[in-house]
Amino acid sequence: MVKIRVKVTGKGIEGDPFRVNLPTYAWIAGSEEYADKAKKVLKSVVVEIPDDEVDEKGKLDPEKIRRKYRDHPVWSKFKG
Amino acid sequence: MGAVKSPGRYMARPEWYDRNPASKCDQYQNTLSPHGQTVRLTYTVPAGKKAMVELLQADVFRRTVATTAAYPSSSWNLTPSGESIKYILLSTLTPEQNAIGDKDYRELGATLALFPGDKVEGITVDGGTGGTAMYYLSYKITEFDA
Repeated sequence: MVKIRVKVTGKGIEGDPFRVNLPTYAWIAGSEEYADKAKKVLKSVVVEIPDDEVDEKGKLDPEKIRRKYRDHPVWSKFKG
Repeated sequence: MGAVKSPGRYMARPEWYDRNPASKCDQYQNTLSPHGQTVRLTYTVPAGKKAMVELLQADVFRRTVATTAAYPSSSWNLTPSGESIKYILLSTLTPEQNAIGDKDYRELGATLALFPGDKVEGITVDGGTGGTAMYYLSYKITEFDA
């Protein structure tokens, strides 16, 4: 698993939870960066993702994700 | 008596746990004040693979009393590929369970087969005000060739 900091999307409500736009990840507790801390609006977080979804420099590789989840309606079109 | 069969010309297909298996295991644990619904753990089955979920755990534990208690919860949901989200496991405290040490613990009671593109997600949420709760989510999955 590789740790990377990524943008958090969503509104924190049912049907649109705060989340990371990746197929497989583990959220690292305490790594959150807030856009508005008083309102608890999240901006980014550190997550762990599988080794086979990053390039040799440890950066997210959209092509590897598209290939790994090639039949998936969303992840087969992943742009990073 | 039936005819004696000749020893196998054909190799039986290996069992799922012998088809290039890989263990996938992760957890999330934190003590949090009230917060919006947040996806803490996600696992999606890759193309050409299947997966057997052997363990899902969800736990919530009151650490400090809430001013206005709601339903702090940790949960697991399943989204079959191309379908809508289904909640399959929920651990929650009710507003009446607002004393330090109040807790709820759930775990998956059966093995769950996942197919390419299926996704499981571990979520936490607390819509109350004030106070904190400890949330715990974990999974163990064996991924193998489809």
